[in-house]
Amino acid sequence: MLLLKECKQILRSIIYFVFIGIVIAFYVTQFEGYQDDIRAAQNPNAVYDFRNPLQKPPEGLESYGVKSAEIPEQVVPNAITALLQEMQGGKFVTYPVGFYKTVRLNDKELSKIQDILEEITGLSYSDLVQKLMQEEQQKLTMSQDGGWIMSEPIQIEITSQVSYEQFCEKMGQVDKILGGGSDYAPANLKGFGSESITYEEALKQFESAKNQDNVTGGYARLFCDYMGIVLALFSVFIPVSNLMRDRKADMLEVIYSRKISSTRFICTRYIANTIMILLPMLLLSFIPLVSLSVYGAEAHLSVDYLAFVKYIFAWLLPTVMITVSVGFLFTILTDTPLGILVGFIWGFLSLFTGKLSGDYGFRVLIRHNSTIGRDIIDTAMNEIIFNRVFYVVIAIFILLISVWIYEKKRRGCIDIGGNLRKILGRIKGTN
Amino acid sequence: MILAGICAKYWDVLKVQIKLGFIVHLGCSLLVLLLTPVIFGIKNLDAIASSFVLERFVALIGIILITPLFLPEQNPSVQEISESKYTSLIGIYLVRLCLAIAATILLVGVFLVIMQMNMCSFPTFQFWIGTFATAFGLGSLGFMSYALSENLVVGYLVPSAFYLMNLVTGSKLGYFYLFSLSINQMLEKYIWLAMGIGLIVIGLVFRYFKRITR
Repeated sequence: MLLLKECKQILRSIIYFVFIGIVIAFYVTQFEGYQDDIRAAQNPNAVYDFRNPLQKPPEGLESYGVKSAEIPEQVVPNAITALLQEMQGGKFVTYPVGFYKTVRLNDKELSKIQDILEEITGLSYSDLVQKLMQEEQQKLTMSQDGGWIMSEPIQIEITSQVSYEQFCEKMGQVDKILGGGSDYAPANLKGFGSESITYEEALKQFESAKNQDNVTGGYARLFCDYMGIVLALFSVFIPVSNLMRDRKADMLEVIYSRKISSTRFICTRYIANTIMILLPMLLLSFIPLVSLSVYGAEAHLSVDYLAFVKYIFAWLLPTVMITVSVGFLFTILTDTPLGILVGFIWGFLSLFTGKLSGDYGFRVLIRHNSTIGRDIIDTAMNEIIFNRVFYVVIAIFILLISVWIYEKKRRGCIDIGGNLRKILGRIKGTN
Repeated sequence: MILAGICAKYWDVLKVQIKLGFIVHLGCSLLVLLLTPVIFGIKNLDAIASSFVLERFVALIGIILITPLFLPEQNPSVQEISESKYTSLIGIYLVRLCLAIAATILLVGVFLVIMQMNMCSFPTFQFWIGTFATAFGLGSLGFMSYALSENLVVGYLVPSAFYLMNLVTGSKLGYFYLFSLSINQMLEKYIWLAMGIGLIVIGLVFRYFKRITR
């Protein structure tokens, strides 16, 4: 059967084994933390960690952790203080494309920000700077090694002269002046506020992990988060090398002359590539599943044995489908490994321009880098479903285009690869 | 006289190598360098921000330039003809290597100058060596992978995977951490320079012994 033959071909390729090596290396370096969670949950004397969904919060603790919260009474003074400090330092930190970047502003841009600060606080910029310096002097203390440190976080006391909505709008203007990606963007302002997690909230999170996620759900999400990175970046290598092998072995014309239809041939190869890329994910997921299932059985908890499989198919399969489709399209079109470059750069940009969770949209790589926070997933469920279905549809559409191009190549109507080789030959002087 | 003859021969080899494949990879490297200011912005960066741009993006030209040095002999027929010639194939590989390394050093240097002209502030010589070490390390990893597997895709895959490992695992990789300029460490860079030479020697020795045992 052709599908089995194609799967065996992929299994025999060295690139597939290198890919599996990368998957395993990534799994071992990034995902082994679940074993610490299990050990902590089994040890009644372990220190409570709110990020561990298996650990029941003990009553009467001083702190159950801290979370970001958009509390205007905290956000406004903290954001203003941070902005003042950066203005005094002469540079601003932003993350416009996910990477750290410092921005220096000219006098006109600095003056605009000063005006915004004066509008918000009702104080002149020089008064604000004086308040900041007084605060810094009061909280500056000497550390044990003789250096100077702040004994407490600095926060200048100000009274906002505008409503919180207007404050957010003005911070948005500041973010725009800085080129975007700063902590002052309205979506990021909640980072300036925090509140303690209460016992009730910690217990609710534990109950959610027990009853809704059934022990394995949170870990299945984290597994898919990490494996999604490997798939988005590297799975395109397999279909591209699989298709390039025909050219390398001078088999193209032989395959073209066969009776098999282009649709059946390309679709069979596509399904074979998709199966073989997902297979290591499914097999690897058994390792944490077994450990978590054993823990669940010992703790008399209900375990969702299919959590990893469900999440792999719903979360990772669309990513694999689109990367394989893109690999097929560019390789069939150009007879070059251009698909690797396109797929890798697309995955790279998706990885580094997105947040660690809650940011889905049209990203090929969706992230949820936590075993907790199921409420974020539940809130954005429609967005996630739309994203995944969108990529499945696009993947199938690109596959159909690839089939059409392949058929045209078989009939000799298209030879973009040949034309590219002629151009390259002229550049190299071999034509 | 003999030395002059050898130099003339390898000078001709160098001229042909530039047209044969180097110019395409150089073009791809220039594309990466042109994209860098578009994606990141290279104005008014301090040392840490500059190191991010240089180590995480500019250094990728090492993979593009140094990895595919066996590509002209990818076709077995071409390989047999090349091996049958009096001129040592190892000598040809070394010429390509010197060309790729020289291009990497030059491109990194030019980019650094452009960054300095855009008011970026960082220690130039240290960052030149540091960025080249990262590029050389990645490129030599790809070179060795290609030599051992005889597959260009594997040659690109291995350094790309190692690069990703460095991005997500961070300085936990210890002496193998590629982006040590951002934590103001140079020891890792010297280690990568030495390792790079070692990886290239392994690749060349493997190709040599594979040929003589064929």
